[in-house]
Amino acid sequence: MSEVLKVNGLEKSYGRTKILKGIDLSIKKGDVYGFLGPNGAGKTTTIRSILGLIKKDKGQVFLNGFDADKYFKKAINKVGSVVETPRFYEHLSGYKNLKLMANLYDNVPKKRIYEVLELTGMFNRMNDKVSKYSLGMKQRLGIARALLNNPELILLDEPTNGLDPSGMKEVRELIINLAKNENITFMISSHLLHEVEIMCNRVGIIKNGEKIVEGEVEDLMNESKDVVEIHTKQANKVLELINKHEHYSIKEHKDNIIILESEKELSKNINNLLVENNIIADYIIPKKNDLENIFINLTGGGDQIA
Amino acid sequence: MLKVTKNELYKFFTSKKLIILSLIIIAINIFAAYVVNDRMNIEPNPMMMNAQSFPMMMYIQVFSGFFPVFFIFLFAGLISDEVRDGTLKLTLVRPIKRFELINAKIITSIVGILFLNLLVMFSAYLAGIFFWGWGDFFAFESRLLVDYGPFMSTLIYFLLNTIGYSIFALIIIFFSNILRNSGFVFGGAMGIWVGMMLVMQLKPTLKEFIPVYYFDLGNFILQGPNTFDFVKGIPVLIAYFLGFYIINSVILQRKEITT
Repeated sequence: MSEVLKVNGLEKSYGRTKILKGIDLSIKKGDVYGFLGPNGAGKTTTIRSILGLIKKDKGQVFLNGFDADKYFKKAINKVGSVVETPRFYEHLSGYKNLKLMANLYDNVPKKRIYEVLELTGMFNRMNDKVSKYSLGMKQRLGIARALLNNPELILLDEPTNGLDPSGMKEVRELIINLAKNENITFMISSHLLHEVEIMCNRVGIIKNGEKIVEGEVEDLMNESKDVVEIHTKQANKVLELINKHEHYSIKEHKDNIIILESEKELSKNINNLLVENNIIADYIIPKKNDLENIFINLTGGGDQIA
Repeated sequence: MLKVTKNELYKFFTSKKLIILSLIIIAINIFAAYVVNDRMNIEPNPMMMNAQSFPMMMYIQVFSGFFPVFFIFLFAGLISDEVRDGTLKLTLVRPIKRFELINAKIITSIVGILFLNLLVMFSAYLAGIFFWGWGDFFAFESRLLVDYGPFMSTLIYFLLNTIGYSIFALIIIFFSNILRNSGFVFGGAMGIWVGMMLVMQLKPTLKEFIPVYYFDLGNFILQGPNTFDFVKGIPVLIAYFLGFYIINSVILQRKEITT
């Protein structure tokens, strides 16, 4: 599949602080790519650099095959974006806001404005002033605006920020629907790992301005270790036993609950191992290996997730 | 560039600021016409006034003092407010080059100046016609350098005045380009305006090098070639225009949009 976004060695500093330290990214056509990282990791700086809103110090950005430095107009022509909270000319109607942006492209007919309003469920409110819209409506109008130019790629920076749960669900479903039915590639930066897990087929995780992992969500989950939670009154015996086995390691221990990690596929042997050593377990609960676990393992803490 | 200019003009002409200022200008003209009309009956020195003379009188007596403040008020937020509101990036993530955007902003400001000048002129005409009719004399006729008739002379007078203000608009845009808060832009541009007037007072020999001097370029057709030294004036105006145009383009080109 062809790459719709390729970033090579992206670097950016503010004063002496290096924000991006040579980020490489690759997004292929059809991907819904989750872009994750703790607070201050450089996600927004990366997205702004890709869009040319801030000047990178080094590196190259290719959008739909065009070098964004040399051929900015061609590169950006089939790209849509919503960077952080979508902003609008609040004194104008939703329709007028879209019309203004449609004017900046060569071939966006009036019909397309109605289409994107319909797609995002904003058709009935298009003549209301944006200042009267809720945040969820603004997010949807922001996505409608990003769709105007029939983009190959849409970059969304925190698309569900500030939305209530139903608003989040609406936006999430809209993205999934657009990716499936309109064949649009998405790059989504989000702090909601569960959402990214639902929406995205690929992820890139950055930390301190460096990419630490990139790949298929499924592969990352398969590659990672099994996690099992054991409830037992003989916790000390379990700890002793596990410490002797190289395939297992203790992740957490609190009172009668032990969470251990095992190499892939070996968690199923835990029960036998405990029985063989006369340890009675009240419960053995296999924990689902989700993106959050992977993220926390890779970035070293969930409290910083953003 | 046409596409982005069209957008900038649309935003400008639908802005509350412009609507408020336009209403203020119309109200001032009506109120002034009312006051003048009242004085026309006061003996022993009744005022002589009619519609064809009223616009120029209003500019010289009233609007020449207000216009710099009006333009600062209008253009202070041209870039700074858009950066603050996060709407500047909407244009910058489309297939538009940054120099096209600065050109569009400059064209918009010049069109804005032209619009307000013509609004003063035509609303004064309307107020004048309402109170006195067109009339049979042009009060400024004896002072005209070239007589193109009352209407054309008045139009040329107003059009010439837009030249000096266009340079001033570039200075306001410069502040709007470097400062994030339109309040600071307002303060900075007011400071420059007052500073330039002070320099003109204190060092009259430098006046031809100061943009404020060209705000009333229309006086040229009233008072003749001695009013302005065009040999000096035109290069000065061109130098200011090019200088601030280049500075504004470079600043916007390098601007980091983080909101």
